[in-house]
Amino acid sequence: MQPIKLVSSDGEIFEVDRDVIKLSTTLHTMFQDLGIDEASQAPTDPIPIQNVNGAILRKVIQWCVYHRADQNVGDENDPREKRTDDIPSWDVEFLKIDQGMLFELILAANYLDIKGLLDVTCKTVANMIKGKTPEEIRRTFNIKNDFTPEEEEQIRRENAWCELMWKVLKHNSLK
Amino acid sequence: MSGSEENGGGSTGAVATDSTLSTTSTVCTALSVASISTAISIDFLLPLDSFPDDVLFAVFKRLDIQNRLNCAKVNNRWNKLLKKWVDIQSISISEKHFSVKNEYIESSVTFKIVDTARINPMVLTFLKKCTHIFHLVIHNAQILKYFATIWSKFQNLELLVLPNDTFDE
Repeated sequence: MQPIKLVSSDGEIFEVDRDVIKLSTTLHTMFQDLGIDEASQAPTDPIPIQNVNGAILRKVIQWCVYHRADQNVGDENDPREKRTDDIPSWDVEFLKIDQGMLFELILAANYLDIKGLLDVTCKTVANMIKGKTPEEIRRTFNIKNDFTPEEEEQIRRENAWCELMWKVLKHNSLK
Repeated sequence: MSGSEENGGGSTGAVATDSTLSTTSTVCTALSVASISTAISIDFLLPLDSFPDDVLFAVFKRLDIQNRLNCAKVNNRWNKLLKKWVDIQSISISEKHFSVKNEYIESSVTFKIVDTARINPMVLTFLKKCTHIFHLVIHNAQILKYFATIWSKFQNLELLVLPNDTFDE
């Protein structure tokens, strides 16, 4: 099995094994549609990954290489996939990157349809949101409050009954 | 001019015919590249709010009820996106609890007061957010009565469970 060449939006070329590529549903489906299976010759021209730059694509491939053996673990029924606060320690280290890069990685995982990577990156952002007030969320992600005072008042009124809620019982608990 | 080109000026294959000019422009290019790359590294910080709706919602899917309610107060776009919780697959409601479940989370809130007149509108507000559900369990006759007024909105509903305690007084 020859590796397949991918080229990033900024022209960087990566050679990737086919079992690694399989983690990307987008690429896997594309190869199937093109009739390229494991027995056939790798395409000579590198496959352009238009929406992903070299720095991000390197990171994506690094994640896929580490998780290449995971693919046989049924992601549908694997209870380990369902924990929101439980991110594998290798992934935690892997995701110690700046916010901008984390967000780029989410967009790349979404574009390439890499379920596991999208899951772990979205969990990471969700964990950054958890327990924060709206103002703290805005500050964390540099989001502008674009509510007019009237809208703000309306939302406050709509949510007044939230005060009546006592506590969150199961905080994103395992099913 | 052509004479200076033969001197090379240190720039191999440079199109510029004057070596001094060529060197200067190289320095300028280097400088502008440096300043551009600095600018990029700051500007390039992709904001969370630049995500397409579906990707942003993929993050919300992993949040429980309380955190979703906080997110809805962040800005207009988040508020609009969180008007409907389209990812919620099943709900269980009793006099005291409201629980939701999707493929990632299971989250439940407990009502502090036991005054159905005040709780029912709350439950109704929650229910209206989750009209895409497949499963609904209602433990309370009052709430069932409320649900009956909006049930036609629940097009995906496959299973309505009314346990033994539903009609308990």
